[in-house]
Amino acid sequence: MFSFSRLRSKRDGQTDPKGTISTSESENDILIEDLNIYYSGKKAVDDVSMRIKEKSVTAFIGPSGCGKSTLLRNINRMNEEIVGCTFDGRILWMGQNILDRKVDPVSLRRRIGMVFQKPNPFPKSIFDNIAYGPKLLGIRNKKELAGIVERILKDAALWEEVKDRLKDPAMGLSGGQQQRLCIARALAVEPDVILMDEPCSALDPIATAKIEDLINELKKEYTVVIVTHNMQQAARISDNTGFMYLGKMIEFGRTQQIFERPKEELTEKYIRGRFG
Amino acid sequence: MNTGGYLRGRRSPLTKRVSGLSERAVITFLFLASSAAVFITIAIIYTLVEGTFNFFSFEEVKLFNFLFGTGWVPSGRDPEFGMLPLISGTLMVAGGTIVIAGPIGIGAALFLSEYAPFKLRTFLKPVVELLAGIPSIVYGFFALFTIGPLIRDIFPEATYFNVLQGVIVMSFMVLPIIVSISDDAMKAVPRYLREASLALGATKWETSFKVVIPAASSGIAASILLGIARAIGETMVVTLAVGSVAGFHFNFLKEAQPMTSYIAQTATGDIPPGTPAAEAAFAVALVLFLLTFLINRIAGRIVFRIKKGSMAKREPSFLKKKALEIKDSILKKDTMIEEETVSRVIRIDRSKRSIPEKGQDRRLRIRHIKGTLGASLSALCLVIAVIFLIYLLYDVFKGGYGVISWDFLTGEPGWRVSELSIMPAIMGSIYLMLLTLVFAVPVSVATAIYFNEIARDTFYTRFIKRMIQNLAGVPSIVIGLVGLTIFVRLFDLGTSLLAGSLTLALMMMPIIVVSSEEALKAVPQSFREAARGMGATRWQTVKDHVLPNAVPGMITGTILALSRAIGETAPILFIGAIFAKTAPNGVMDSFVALPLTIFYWSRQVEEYKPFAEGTILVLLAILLTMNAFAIIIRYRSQKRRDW
Amino acid sequence: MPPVIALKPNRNWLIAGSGVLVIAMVVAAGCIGGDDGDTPKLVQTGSSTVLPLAIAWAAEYDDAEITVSGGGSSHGINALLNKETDLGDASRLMKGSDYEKVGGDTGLVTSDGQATGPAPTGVTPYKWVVAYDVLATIVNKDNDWAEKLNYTQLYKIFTDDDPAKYWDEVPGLGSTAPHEKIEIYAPDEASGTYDYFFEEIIPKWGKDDMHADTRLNSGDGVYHPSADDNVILNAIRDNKYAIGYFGFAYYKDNTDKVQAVKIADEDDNYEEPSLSNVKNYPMARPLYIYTDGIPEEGDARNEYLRYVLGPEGQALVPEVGYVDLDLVDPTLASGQLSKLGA
Ligand SMILES: Nc1ncnc2c1ncn2[C@@H]1O[C@H](COP(=O)(O)OP(=O)(O)OP(=O)(O)O)[C@@H](O)[C@H]1O
Ligand SMILES: [Mg+2]
Repeated sequence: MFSFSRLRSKRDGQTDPKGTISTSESENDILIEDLNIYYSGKKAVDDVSMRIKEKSVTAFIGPSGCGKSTLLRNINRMNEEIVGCTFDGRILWMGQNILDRKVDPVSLRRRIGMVFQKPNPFPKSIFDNIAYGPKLLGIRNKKELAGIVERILKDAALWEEVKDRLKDPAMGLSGGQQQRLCIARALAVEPDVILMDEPCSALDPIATAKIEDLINELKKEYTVVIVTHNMQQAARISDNTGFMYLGKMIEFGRTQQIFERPKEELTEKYIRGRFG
Repeated sequence: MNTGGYLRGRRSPLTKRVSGLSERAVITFLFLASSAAVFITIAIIYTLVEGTFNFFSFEEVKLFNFLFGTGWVPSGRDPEFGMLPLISGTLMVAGGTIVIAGPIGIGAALFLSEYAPFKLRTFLKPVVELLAGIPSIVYGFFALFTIGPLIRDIFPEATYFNVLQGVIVMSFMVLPIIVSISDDAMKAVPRYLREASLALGATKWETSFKVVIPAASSGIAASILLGIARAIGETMVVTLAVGSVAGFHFNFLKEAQPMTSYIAQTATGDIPPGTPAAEAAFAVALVLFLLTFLINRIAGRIVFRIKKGSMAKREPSFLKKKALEIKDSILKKDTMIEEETVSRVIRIDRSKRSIPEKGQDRRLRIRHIKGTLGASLSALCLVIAVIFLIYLLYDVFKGGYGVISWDFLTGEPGWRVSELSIMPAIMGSIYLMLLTLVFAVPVSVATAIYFNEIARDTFYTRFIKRMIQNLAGVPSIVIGLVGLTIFVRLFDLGTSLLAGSLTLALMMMPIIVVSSEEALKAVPQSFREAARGMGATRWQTVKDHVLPNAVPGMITGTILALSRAIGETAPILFIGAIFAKTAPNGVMDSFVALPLTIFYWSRQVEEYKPFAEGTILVLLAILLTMNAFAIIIRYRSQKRRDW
Repeated sequence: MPPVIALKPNRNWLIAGSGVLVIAMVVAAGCIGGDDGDTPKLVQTGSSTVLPLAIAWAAEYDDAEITVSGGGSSHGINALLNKETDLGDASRLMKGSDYEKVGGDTGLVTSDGQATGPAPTGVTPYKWVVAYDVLATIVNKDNDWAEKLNYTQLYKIFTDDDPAKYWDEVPGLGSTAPHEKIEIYAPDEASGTYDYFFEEIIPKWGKDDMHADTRLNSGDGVYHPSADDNVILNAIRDNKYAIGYFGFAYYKDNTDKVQAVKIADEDDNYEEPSLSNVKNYPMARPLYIYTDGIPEEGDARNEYLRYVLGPEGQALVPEVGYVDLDLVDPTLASGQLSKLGA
């Protein structure tokens, strides 16, 4: 049990003085329609429809195994990489159904980046981790790459910590630094959307706070979708929250509303921590 | 106290049983068996060092010339013992092999690991491994008679024996090593690294090539090293196809003599015993032994680290970590200050884009084409391997099936080409195998049990384990020399079936130990805990609960090891005979064996060639039957398994 | 989760496994005890030149089971001295150095290859001449300038003593020979034929002041050594200016592919290599089997040697490609047979 308004006001006071969330509909919103996802024929996500607003933070919460990650991974079609995973329905974005087979997942993923639960830097240097994406996109010039790496690391508030050891292995960083590096790596291909699957679950509170700060900053320019088990975190950083249960999107709405006046009994139970 | 007395009274007979005589005897036996590796190692070192010492005691032999001389003319009127020609021969063979097998092997492994669907993979992996099951004498034959003419067609200047033909078939021989270890290493690359790359918008090929391969690089390197060690130690291919005239050159179209080929020559060529030319074999073998030992050692370490999983997340070395820590502590102050100000410092401004959008569509198309090309190329690597296998089998079958007749298989052999029969060779090979079974299995299984069930992890056990690993890498021709020195000469067993099978047992022991250990490890730990919990002694636990469940695995492993033994030529090159009219009927009898028959006939006039091919067919048929048995046993035991 | 208490060991496999092992042991034991003693056993090893003959005799001879292997003349004699073999094949005479290797007195071996006393191992080798080997010098079919050669010419071609580079440099061939490079395709040092060619033939005719080494060891690349007679044959067939040599037995089967050179004997008569002309042809050598002493009657070796030296054994010799004793010296076989008590 915790007080939503107290958390919220603290956060708002710090970073988002306006505290306003755009309500107008835009082509850049991600519109999920009648989405079903199956693992070897078994339904894991059941008929989900929702609108993820651009340049905002949307959080998915729900008990373990309810399908949060599965839903998230479908937004950049990472589920295609899992043998036996199939889906139907539509996800409309930038005027296209991105689940259409004609849409190239390679170019889609460049637009919709992803950060994973466990920090997963490549076993390469810090520099090469960031430069990996830009190199794929054809940037070969050393100076140009160095410029990108510096800018991106500054964006991810990591520059001061690593500027002297860009050539060192990324594995030598602390867990929190690694995760920020992974976020930076995702930013380096200049996506529009960033999906995060429990990005802080492996980190300590200080590292978590840094990442939350970063997310707060990111949402000014990016659409952020985050899965979290930490309800305080969802309350602190998200503008909209979806509660999932057994593959269904039980309730989706403004975060404040979900936490203060949930419409559904299940949501209420979960939020109050009165769940099996 | 009363209760105490009662307990003590109850316990003492139990305690007695626990450390009872038979139990202790069994454990002593297991311990002694496990020390066999020590004796084998001593035998090898004794053989090589003693022979080398003899060699250098000839006054015409000088250490400096041996190491740096460029002339190897051991039987000339003015003998020369400069090893460089042998080294250059070995270098050419091993180097050439890796140049071909490395890329093909890595490509094939990449396809198996990253692209092949599960079903295709389960079909293709055994096919590639089949290449490892074909005896080296068959590869040598194929090199000389099938690849050779092709090469001379393409390069008219190529000589009858040449390095290239040996290198080509050897590449396919070491391919399974490279494929299976590289594949393991690539499979061990964690999924999340692949996902990280894909999520950045990398194609599958880019992910494979830029993330999976670099992350698996040490495993791939180990597979290459093991391939090199195998190529260096391989005897029959080079003896049959590469040649027996040492020359210090690097021309792949010419004849050369690698180290193993010279050692084999002292067994088969007319090199007088007791001369420096004959003793030179030991010195060459010592160099060979040290070389393969070193390479296997390095590769073994890497493979061990991969298995332990520390490869998945490559930790920086200890020193580097320390350096980082120090750096961190120096930087700490700044970082601390930074922490306070983080949120105020970041200002993300996406207007400063650096990646041009123009041309990305075209670039993407090119990337996809590259990906398709890359995937096809790696598939092609596998296709090449499969085609080679099919062609080899087809070629041997085509040439050999015509001579197979009841008489050829069971008749009494005559000397005319029209009267040839391999009955004595078939029987010789079977007896050899059975005796090898008798000598190798009890010791090997006991060793495996001792290490896996009884022994604690001490310096001694680790030492012996490492020794067994090392034994597995000793080139077979070196084992042949050891058999000659120890069994034929020292034990005075002569060129008998007994000496032959003991020699093969030396070769098989490490293999059977490893497979038996795997079988024991597959028995769930809970079985042991339950039995021990009920008061069973260590040996009772093993005997009643572990062994019965491990036996199918052991049988499978043993059959596979024996199927290797029956195809081995080099270890018995010094011991086996060339002609016998009847099957041996005593362990002290001389014997002929199938691989030796193939070897002899392939060096005769062309009329013998189909008979050599027919013999290869028979050998392959025996091998296949044994392998099928092993697979059936494994399958049935797995089906019955209730855990 | 594996069951913890309900252990159900599958004993069938244990039984099957031990069963196989026991059967193997029984077979192995049967192998040990299986000496029924009906047919005696002999081991024969040594010269690879004698090997084809030994195999033919072993295959045809029914009163003993003979296992044959190669390894070289030295190996054959050495194995006999060490009691590792019953019959030691050799394409050369036993030498003092063979005794030396087993710690024996070199003086006990005569220049005729016979032992006058036992070696320290207790073995007194006895020499049996069993056949003759004839060596053929070979040139291309189209070669019409070197169809016959004498020693001086062979010396100029095959040794490293100021060797001829071109055919027209060979003394005595004169203007008929072309100005083309000589290429030699012949056995390598490991072969007994090589030893025979250089150690027997050249010194036999050489003058005392000539101490030449083989052209192979001169390193001028003209001598292409090979362990395989096929290679030599094909190379000479395909190269008009090539020359080489190998055993007559091999030439006999390939007279359509290459031609044999006539060789001048000591009286300067050019002799052609053929089975019938062996008495006169200079490049012929006897082949030997050594035994420990003269085997007594009733001994399996005695019977075997009687077979080898008798009409049946000798009849096989030409078929294998060697020269039977009678062609060289009709008394040779009978003289030796009488020592065997026949
Ligand atoms: N690769 C897979 N193959 C088969 N089933 C899967 C796979 N991944 C997930 N599932 C199943 O799909 C359902 C949803 O899983 P998902 O990972 O999306 O849950 P989650 O909400 O992210 O849980 P958590 O909070 O524990 O991460 C679960 O029942 C899970 O067992
Ligand atoms: Mg999840």
